[in-house]
Amino acid sequence: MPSLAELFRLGQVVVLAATLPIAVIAARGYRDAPFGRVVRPLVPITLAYLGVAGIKLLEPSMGVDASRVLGSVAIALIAWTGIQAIVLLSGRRAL
Amino acid sequence: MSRVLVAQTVVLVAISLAILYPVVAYARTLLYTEAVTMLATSLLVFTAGSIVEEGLGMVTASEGIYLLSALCFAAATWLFAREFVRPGSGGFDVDDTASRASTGFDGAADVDAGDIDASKGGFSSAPQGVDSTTEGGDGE
Repeated sequence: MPSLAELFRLGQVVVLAATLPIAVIAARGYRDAPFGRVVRPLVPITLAYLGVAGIKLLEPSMGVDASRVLGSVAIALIAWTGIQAIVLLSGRRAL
Repeated sequence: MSRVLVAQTVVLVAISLAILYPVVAYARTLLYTEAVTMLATSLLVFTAGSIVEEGLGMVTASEGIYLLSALCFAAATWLFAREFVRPGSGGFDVDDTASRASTGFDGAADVDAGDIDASKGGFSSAPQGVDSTTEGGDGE
């Protein structure tokens, strides 16, 4: 009988696995547009979070270190997304 | 609460606010306000999960909060991608995506964005050019 925490982790894996193709669609849709720089990081962010949730579910022993590394990557990419949005919308980058 | 956790929390909240900044500062020119807000919400919820896990030691609750964060992230991604998803199309419509991609902010009519003209790439009343991304740059 899986614990509630394991069920939550399984839920994270399912949600993020479903999010991945949607992120690919968004990135592909905006691939030639300036806004693509904002949307493109969604794919690696999803992969990083999926990696964190998957490792915690399947290999809890290496979960702490792996989740810290991959979580840091995801957060750095989210920060990059925010910077790209600010740069684009503030007019600092030409269209 | 350890110093590392405090620093981590401060960074996460700062990034969340940085993501929310375009929504506040460029509300008239940014069409995907819902998506960006949802992305920031996802990060703030993730921050709460981090505090609950590492600060309070409540693993089960934190995993539930992380699940909520994942749902918010999925919603944000969907809000970005929905313009390119057509039920029953059976795949990517290359011609359509290429024309949409040329503007980057197309499909604006579906968003409650007031007078924003989708034909101008989602930027409100702005001429095409360097300053077209800013509200102030269009002389209003």
